[in-house]
Amino acid sequence: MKAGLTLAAVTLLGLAACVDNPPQALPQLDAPYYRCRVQPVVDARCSMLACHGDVRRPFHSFTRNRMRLVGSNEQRNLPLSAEELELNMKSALGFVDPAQPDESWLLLKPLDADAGGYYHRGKEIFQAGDVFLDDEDPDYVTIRGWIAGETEDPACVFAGTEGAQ
Amino acid sequence: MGRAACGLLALLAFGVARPVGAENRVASNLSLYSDDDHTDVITSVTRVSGDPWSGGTLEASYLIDIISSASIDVVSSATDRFDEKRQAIGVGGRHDFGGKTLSLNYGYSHEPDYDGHGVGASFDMELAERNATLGLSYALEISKIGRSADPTFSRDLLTHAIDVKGSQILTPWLLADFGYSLGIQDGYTAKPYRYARIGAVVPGDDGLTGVSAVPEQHPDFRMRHALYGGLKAHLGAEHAVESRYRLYLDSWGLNGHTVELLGHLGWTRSFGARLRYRFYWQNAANFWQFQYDEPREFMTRDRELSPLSAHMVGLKVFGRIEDFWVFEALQLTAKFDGFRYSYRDFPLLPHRMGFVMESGVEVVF
Repeated sequence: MKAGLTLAAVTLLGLAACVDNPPQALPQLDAPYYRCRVQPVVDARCSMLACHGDVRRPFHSFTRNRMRLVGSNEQRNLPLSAEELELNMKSALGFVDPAQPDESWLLLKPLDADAGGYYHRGKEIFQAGDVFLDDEDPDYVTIRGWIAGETEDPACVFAGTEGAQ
Repeated sequence: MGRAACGLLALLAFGVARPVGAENRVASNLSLYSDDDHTDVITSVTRVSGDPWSGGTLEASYLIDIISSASIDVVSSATDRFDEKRQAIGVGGRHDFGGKTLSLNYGYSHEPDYDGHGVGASFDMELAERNATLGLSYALEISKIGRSADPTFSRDLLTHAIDVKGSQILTPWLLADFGYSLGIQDGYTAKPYRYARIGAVVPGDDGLTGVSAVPEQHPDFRMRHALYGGLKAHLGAEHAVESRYRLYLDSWGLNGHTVELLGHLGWTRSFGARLRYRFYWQNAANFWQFQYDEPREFMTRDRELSPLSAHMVGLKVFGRIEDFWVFEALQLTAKFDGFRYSYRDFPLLPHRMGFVMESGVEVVF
């Protein structure tokens, strides 16, 4: 009886395996391209305080005159810091798939469902269509270019990010 | 669906001719769940059963529950609160072949983001001059997981459950039971609303997010084992004490132990109570982390996969009145369970306390 119970316990322990869970590298995408071409799109179309300018959102972004990492109200309009830009890019990197750029959440969430995009609650809240009505929107094409590996001059400057290079 | 279910209930309860000695039953239960994580659930279940032929029983049930939640899972994704309704119907039948019983059942459950069909079969038999029983059951559930208000999201999940159980009378006053359950999940088991967090916490965010967030990703396959057993000692004709233990292991590295103690009190044959205390402890699934240092193939922030322990105490009282009005009997039950969960490594919700209150009425005719 005792031997049987021991055998059963050992068998069960043997059945309970573990999940192999190797680390995955974050996608290596071009930081200057993000700073000078993607960040302006996010500023203009995503990072309002009621939307992704809220740190509780899985995808969130710091933006001048909106959500800031540190500082007082009077400092809210200062250029984005290098740290804020880095955090913004890392937040975006969680939603990209460089191996299949068109399958990236960063593109499919704001793309209208009629054009093949995912459900996006922002469309319901504002009732004014989704961010990108189709995949020919120039801003959609810009973000897609970043995910697909396009690069920008490291010395590029975009208004509002001068202090963050 | 609600109207069809009501029609089926009425047919079973009143429209079936019954053999001598058979019983028909209609039961209704109403329960309220509430916890300090701002989640409330009201559940109503109606069941009818009848014995349309000798040895045979047919039954049907209809469940509806209404959930209102602003739990930390919801709030941490910047959603204020959600309200949801779930409905489920079940039909089943069994036949007693004289010491051997075969049962079949089917169920359907619907929520705005979930549809599930389940079928099951079980076979139970008495052995050793009714001193022992043996049972075998299998259930299959085919689920479609969606995302509320999102027609573009749909994932499949297949769940198999096999259960082997038995019981043995050891002495005239001592009964033992034991069993083994095997569960297999194949498909999407994550929550489409939940995100894993990567990187250091951003200052001022109260730990709600990290530098990056990615949709939760679980392995597509999970094998679950449970070994359980219990001893029930009768103290005189009406009272009993019972102790139970359950060991749980799965292929995600999660181990759990459940210990339960129960006291059954019968002041008369028709009025009694049950007291119970349950303790549960588990470690974490081996891919669970509250905050990941780097991206992993599998990532989750599901607190139910984190290390946790739980205490529960409960009281249930029940009474039966024979020859009540036009019925053969009326049975009433009331139940209260209070619980406290502790999530050791989940700082957003270190503890969760709550209760479940339930009342039930059943008529036999």
